[in-house]
Amino acid sequence: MSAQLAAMPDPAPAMALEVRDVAVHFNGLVAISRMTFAVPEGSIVSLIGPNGAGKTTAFNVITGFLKPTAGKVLYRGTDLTHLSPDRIAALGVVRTFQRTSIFGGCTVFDNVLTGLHLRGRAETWGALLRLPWVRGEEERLEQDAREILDFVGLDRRADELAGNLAYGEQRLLGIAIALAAAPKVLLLDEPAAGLNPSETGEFMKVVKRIRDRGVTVLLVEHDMRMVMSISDLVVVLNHGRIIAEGPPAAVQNDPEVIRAYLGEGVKRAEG
Amino acid sequence: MPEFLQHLANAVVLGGTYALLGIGLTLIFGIMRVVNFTHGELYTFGAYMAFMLAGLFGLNFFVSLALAATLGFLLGALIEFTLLRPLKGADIDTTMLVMIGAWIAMQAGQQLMWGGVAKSVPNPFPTEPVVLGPVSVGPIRLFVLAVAVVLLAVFYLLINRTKLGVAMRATFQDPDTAALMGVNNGLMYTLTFAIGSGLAAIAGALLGPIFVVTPTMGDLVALKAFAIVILGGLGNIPGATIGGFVLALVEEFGAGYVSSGYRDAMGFLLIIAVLAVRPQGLFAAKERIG
Amino acid sequence: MTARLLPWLFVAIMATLPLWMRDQYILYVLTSTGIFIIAAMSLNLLLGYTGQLSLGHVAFFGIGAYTSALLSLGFDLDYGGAQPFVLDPQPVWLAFLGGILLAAAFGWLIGKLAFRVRGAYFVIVTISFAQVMRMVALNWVDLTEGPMALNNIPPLTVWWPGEGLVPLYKKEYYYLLVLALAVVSFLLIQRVVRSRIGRALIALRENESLARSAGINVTRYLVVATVLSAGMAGAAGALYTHYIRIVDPDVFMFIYTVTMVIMVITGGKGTLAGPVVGGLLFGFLPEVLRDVAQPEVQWIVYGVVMIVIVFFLPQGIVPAVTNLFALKKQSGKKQSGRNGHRPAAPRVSEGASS
Repeated sequence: MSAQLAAMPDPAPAMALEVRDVAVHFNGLVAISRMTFAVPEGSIVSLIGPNGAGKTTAFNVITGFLKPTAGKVLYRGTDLTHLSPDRIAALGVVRTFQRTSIFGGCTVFDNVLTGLHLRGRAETWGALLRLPWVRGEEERLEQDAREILDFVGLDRRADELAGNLAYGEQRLLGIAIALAAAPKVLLLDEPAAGLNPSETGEFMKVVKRIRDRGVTVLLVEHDMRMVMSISDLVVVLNHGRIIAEGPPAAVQNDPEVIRAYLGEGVKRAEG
Repeated sequence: MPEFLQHLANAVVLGGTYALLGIGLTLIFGIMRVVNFTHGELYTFGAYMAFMLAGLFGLNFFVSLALAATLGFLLGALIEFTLLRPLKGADIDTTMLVMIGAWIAMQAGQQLMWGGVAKSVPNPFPTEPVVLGPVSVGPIRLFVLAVAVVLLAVFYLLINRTKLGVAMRATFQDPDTAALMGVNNGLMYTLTFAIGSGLAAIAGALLGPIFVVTPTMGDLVALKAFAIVILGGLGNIPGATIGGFVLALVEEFGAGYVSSGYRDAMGFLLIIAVLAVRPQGLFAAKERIG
Repeated sequence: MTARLLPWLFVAIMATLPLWMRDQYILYVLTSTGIFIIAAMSLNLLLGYTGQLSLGHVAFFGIGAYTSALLSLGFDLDYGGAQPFVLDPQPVWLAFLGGILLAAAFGWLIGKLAFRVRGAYFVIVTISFAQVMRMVALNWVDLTEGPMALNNIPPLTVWWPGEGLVPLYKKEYYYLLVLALAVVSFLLIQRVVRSRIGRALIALRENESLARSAGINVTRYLVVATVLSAGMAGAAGALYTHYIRIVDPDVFMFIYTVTMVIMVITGGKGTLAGPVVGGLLFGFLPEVLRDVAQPEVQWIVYGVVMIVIVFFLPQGIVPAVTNLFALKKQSGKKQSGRNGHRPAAPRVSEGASS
């Protein structure tokens, strides 16, 4: 692993997620040229980079929505690369989505209940016959749903139609649905997109609380304030390659990173 | 061997009209993303118009054909304008349901208007078949083939060589950019639907005199048109042309050598078989729906 | 509370019908409407709750009808072997079960296909499937008698204390049987929809990617939906065939699928009451219109109605009505939580607000 990681307090942290030599080519277009990084257990890692750098593509590869042209993704040693998204979620790697992130036609409560799918076992016969253990399971799941809604602060909106929620609330609901799947690694795709500064502040608190519960978080974000203040590690992508990685302070001052974001103009301005 | 050639000849004739049907639908289904259940009814409409103009009004046969196509074109424009335009942006289920409603109403309307008794369209062609070596073909079928080929050529020229064709293709590929370049998207969609419908109508007008005209003739034909579109790939015009001939071949040879009762099933079995193996159609389709 | 009792009241009233309705023809209409409502409810599971554009539903109806008819009549089949394969007439409820199972088996096939073939393609495949079935019924004369139809199909029987198995020839008894089975079907759909399975199906309709990332296996649940849906449609078909006691290839006509679709869409897809309301409406509309307008005019009316509903009441009748009632209730009163549960009092947490 890279030297920057060695600078972290725990000298040899276990890796929750490893991306190894992943490449993604579409008909001649290189979305990701060669990406290798790792996410330590229990940390918050941010994946940043200019638009089109390949961040969402990386997410899609990790969570099974896209098969890479080369390379592997490992979760605690298990190879995720060719698994389907639902298998990957069942293993404990869950993501949120940038845009349509909720079940719009259902109530907030039902959204979370649906997200709790992996915590239930009732199948067709159980449902049709409404066996006692199924009823017990339903009650337990409803209790879990209430707890999750409390945790993200949406308990008062439980009976609203998800499609009617304010934008910021919808992003929170997206996180609630992801949490319902009992993730060990949570991938957040631009969770703060479109939020105002106070909403972003609340979001950061939620993300920290999630990490404090032992969940490893990998996030893609553009909001630099958020990224720099909550991340343990920052990975910078540009043109499908990693150009820097390390703790926020180190990355902030990395000339490569500055150039990627601001363009050649900065270098010329500096003389 | 002669039997084989005869089937081949029949298939080629039929293929021409199937190609017209297929192109019409691939424009609408493939490009406008509308599951057009009225396509079969336009086919029927074309046939009935030919009957009405040539049979009832006694107009010249060829003039009747041209008029039938024009009327089909106009009817298509009307359908698009009243039913589809107001639904701009709605999802595919909604437009599909509206098209189903229109289909039901249209078929019942044609039934009401003409009754269920089959009609035949008078035409100036002799009934004696023309013998070309081992193959004999009715003269009217040769005429139909000729017209189909001419229309296909005209259509290609329209799409690829005219300004209108360029505008249409621009709208299909990227409506927003096309609009910025001054193309009237709404007009393009109406025209596309109208042309597609006109092609269906003329296919009906051409085949009506060969077979007979009944109110339900459009149903099977519509499904075959879908088969052709799927075979050729959504929005793929050359694909639809080839698909039309392929379907005609499969039907002719299937009916001739396997079983004539299942003739019409050939198209459906072909659809199911192709999609089960290659869900995106035989040829690389431009884009998939859904 | 009254909202819960209303449906049961309705069922009770319908159950007493044979006592005071003497008109045999109206009983016939009600019975066949009931059968179509069962078929519509099954389509609703697939079209409304899972969001799959399946337009071949009549295929399952017809498969259930033919299978049950053939099993209860017995048949012999020449398959090219030395002796034809002979099946003796089976007890009628066994045949009925056979109809359901075979329809469900085909449902399984379509479900497997649904995952690979999406959207508009799937629509075409399902329509084609039904057409192929119709042609098989038409052409495999050895088995199905083709257009000459299978007739003298035995009616369903009911076990009555003291009398043993009673064949249901009387219209009144068959009507009650259909009513009972319709209620059972409704309850089964209700149970599925309100369970973990139902949530998975709805998730597929609402946001498939999100559903997958929540651990829902798309293929598996598509198959569950189509198998259940097909089996129930097969039951409706079998009910139909033992009622009118004759079956021919016309049972596979696309127009029946269209009828079911109209019932579901106008009633309200994705609601429990939708297919019932739509079914009653389109079961009775032909009768009401019969003296006033020819069949062709009726179908023009249906076509127009469908277009109008899609334009103005896109959710269907039932949601439009429930919204109306909800608006009235909401003036002042805050809704209580799901199933009477009140949302938990806001915790004094570290400040995360909604």
